[in-house]
Amino acid sequence: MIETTALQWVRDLNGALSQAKSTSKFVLLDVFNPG
Amino acid sequence: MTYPHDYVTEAITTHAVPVQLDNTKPENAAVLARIHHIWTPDVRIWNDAGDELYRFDGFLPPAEFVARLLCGFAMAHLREKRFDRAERLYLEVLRNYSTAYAAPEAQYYLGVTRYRSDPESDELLTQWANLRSRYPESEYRVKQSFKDLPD
Repeated sequence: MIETTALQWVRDLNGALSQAKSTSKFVLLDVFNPG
Repeated sequence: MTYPHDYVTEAITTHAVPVQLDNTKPENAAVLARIHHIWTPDVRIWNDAGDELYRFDGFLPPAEFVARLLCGFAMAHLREKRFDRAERLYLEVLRNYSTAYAAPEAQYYLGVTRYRSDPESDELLTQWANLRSRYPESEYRVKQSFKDLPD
């Protein structure tokens, strides 16, 4: 997908799940191909 | 160029922790096999236990993307029986993105959400009647076509 400076992407799935739990949010997973 | 738009970023960060995985990296291969990844962009909405609640594949321009995404967050809340939050998001789609491809889904599931919240209400048939009049060519119109609706 397209890179951006505005959105701070997490690169670690377990870290994202932990953040989601602590913030009561969902995880949005985007699988991308850099080509 | 979908993500750089401020309203897309806001929609994501309001509701979710965003995580990206590069499908060319060997270290991601195991998780991509586990989730049966096949095409990009591959967008999933999970709860904090890793349960998948919504998914869609393929590029969408920003307004279509954010409407689809809001429908996804609404469905995620609906599946977890947070009816008020689901309702607010479906209404947001219908108010702000009424011509988006995702809008008929919002109209259909607004009725489902209100029905699940209050099975005694007539909101299912009311919202499905709105769907019939506002989005007569949509797939969701077909999905409710088994039901007699009020005029």
